[in-house]
Amino acid sequence: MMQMAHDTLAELGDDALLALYANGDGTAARVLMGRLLPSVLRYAARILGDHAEAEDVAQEAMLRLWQVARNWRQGEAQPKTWIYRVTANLCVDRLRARRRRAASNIDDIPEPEDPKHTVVVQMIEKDRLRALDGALLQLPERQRQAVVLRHIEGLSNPEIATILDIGIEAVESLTARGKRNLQTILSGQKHAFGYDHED
Amino acid sequence: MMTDLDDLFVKARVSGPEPSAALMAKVLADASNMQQEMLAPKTSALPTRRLPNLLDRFMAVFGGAATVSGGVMAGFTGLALGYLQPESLNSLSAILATESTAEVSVDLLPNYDSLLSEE
Repeated sequence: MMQMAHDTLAELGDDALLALYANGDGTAARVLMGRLLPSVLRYAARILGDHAEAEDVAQEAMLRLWQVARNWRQGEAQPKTWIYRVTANLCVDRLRARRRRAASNIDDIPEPEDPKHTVVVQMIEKDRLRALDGALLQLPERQRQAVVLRHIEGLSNPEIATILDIGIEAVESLTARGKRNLQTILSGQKHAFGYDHED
Repeated sequence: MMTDLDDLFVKARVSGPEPSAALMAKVLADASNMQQEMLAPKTSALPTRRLPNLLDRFMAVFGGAATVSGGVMAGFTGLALGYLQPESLNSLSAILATESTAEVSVDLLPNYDSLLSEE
């Protein structure tokens, strides 16, 4: 099949790109990957707290997208929402497997890095972000997913409801509680962050 | 008012791990393999299914071709017999019409007295 110009493809929606890919356009896959893979990887890394595992999950999620391309029903779902949902489920599977392994042989599991320990007493951006990631890992799984999708990935509540397969009210509740918990966790480190001044 | 946490969220949005070249290569290889698989002609093509025409659908309503052909055959036979009136058939009709019906009495309540009588 004739390959469409990269610039032309860049103007198309994700679902149109997926349809082009299914019809043999190789460039469409590259453009789609460029749009979706960074978000998926970032999301998985924040949920799992493990870069290598996040890469595996991101690759698997993208593979599943390629697999469904031929049967994709235009206009019914957005590839972006769909792939976040797949990634969320893959992350849940990984976390469950991790808990099972931990339960079966606790001695073999390396001590998780203490998130508080990652909060280096320096006011530099990198450390603050690392502290945020550490605090996120202390949240319950669903709260973490909702907070990352809402506040970091910038998705809307209806999109998050679709991804997590819950109602919009549940999303609002999860994000609100998650944010409160994050503030509580991070407030203990305010001194370390130099936020002693009054807001 | 933007809190420290909101500020951190905004910064986190543009931070985080970027896909490595190796990961992107693996994803593109998966895409290519899957695309080839999708577009490859099927080696064992399924037989094309013929759409049922009007006659097929009509016959299906009455139980299929075998049932319909049996019914049609019976109908034609009846018509043929009616029009042709073969001699042998007339003879048979005459016999059946004139034959007196034999009265057969059936004892629905047989008498069990014989069974009760003492030897």
